[in-house]
Amino acid sequence: MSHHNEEIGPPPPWSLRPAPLGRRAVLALGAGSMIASFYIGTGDVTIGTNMGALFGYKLWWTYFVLGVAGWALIDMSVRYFLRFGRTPMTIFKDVHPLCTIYMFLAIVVCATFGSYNQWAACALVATGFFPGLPIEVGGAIAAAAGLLFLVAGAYARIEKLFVFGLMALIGCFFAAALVAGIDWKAAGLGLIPNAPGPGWNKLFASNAGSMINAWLILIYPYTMIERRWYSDQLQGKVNILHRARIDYGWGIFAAGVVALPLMASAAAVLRPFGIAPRHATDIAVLLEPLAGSWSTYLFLAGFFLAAWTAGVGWWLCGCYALLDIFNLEIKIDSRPMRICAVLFFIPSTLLLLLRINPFYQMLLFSAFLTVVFPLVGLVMLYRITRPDMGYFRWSLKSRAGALLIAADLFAIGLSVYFGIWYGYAKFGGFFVSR
Amino acid sequence: MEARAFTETREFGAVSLTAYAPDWTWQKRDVNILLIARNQGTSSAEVAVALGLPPGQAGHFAYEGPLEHTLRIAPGETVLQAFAGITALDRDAVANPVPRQTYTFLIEARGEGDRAAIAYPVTTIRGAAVEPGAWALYLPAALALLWCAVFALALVLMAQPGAWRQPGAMATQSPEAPAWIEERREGG
Repeated sequence: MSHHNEEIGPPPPWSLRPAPLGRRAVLALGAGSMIASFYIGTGDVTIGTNMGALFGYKLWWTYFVLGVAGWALIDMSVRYFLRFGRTPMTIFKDVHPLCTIYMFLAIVVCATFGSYNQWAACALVATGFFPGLPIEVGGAIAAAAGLLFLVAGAYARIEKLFVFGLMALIGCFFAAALVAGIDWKAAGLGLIPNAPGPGWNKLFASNAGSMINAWLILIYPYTMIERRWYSDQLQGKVNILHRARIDYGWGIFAAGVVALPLMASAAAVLRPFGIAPRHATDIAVLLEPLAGSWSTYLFLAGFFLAAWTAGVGWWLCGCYALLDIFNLEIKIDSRPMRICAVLFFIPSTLLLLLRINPFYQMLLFSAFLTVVFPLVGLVMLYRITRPDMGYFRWSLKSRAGALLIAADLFAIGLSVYFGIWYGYAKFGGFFVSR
Repeated sequence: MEARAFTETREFGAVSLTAYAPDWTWQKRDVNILLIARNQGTSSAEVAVALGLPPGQAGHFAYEGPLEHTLRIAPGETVLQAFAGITALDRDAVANPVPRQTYTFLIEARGEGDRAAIAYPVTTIRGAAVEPGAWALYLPAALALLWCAVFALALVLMAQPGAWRQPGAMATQSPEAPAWIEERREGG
């Protein structure tokens, strides 16, 4: 609770200004880079390249429209944490035990499924360099490296790796795309919302699953606990919220930016021939005649980094959320965390035996996430609109408050729209189309 | 070390033709072959390129695109063409399993009174255990759902009884919290 002079009364919602950050704003991008790396995985590569192959740059705008929604959803969980000092799963416990059970099932299924896709993608790249390596072995090695890193890692070390990984993969993808050629004018026009042709809305729905996907948007408060970003004072909470917003704003922006070289590579290489990418080598190999052999290596290296960091990210998010549900200590180097990581390792590695193409499966999985998410969003909306949110409550008395309400409603509206329309109404036909 | 891919160039007349393609694929997935024709001469060239499916094994692939393209290449220009969406099947027309093996496609080019041929080998490996479509989603999801029981057991053993229904402990300000958190605006 905030300690304010009772005679003056608490300040009106959204009336306090944060202390200026200065250069610290640039240095605050650790957890934001983790958020970015969760976004930029096989899903981003798959969706971005499919968009580029089918529509050039015309769907780049979807990343930023969905980014606003993703930002608002993360913001809801952070506001709740700052207001009550309670972790995101308490939101669901507050509403009904069934919501907690739903979250438990969704977390295990999505983190297992999501990480397995990333290990399969890592294996795809590895077999490109080492042809004799079976996909199951390549995926298991990538997963084992992720497990070792999580089990041995302190939070600060993991955050550093994610910052480095994010920079490296952005560099790799941009370098590959720049030598192939980016049409900057077309890219600029792609920021204007448009409907470029049949099939665009399915890719938009998959992107919604990737960008505003389930409880991944709830992870930020856990990183705040690890970094001790919590204050009992209202001004401290306002300062934290300000810095956190820049941080996850950067993460979401980075996910949108990295889509550009992916689209550019696919637009240059695949689009002229109507090839829908279903294999990393479709792009990496076909980049070579346009951009030289280094572009192939750069693209594959970027793809590996994106997939591996996202795989670790899925486990990390899953472990945090499960510890939260069972009121276990939210700490990366705790014993329950390690046990959870091992428990994710086993099924996500065994699933590699199915040998489903991760490019193809990621499109399905992203659409699946759009179905999982709406309940999560609606419960959060219900919780953060209650009057006990205090200083962080909905209020139309200031411009900041009104903007926040608009962003919250936009995010939830978008998520419910995709969940109902693309999830339930078109479930069968959507998923069985190749 | 090189990214495993097929790259082969043939010269005929003033035209050079290079084929780029992956040299392995899963069964049930597609192979795409990209052709780059460069005209290094001083006059236009017309080149017909044809794809030959592996002799006697055409039924091991599904391909609906054209088997021949005609490329018109101005002097000094480069033209790209592709044979896209060649699916390696795991069952033939009468549903017999197709053994995994190395196939050899033939890419032929004719023009300017000259011809060239490129043999393109591609190896198939075991593809997905389920058909593309809904089962590629349901099966992994169902297996993960079953695994929930293992997670539930492990977490219940580590947690306090009934913890999953009770709110977690409230966070409090740590003495080790970063100093910037408590900063105030000047004059604020």
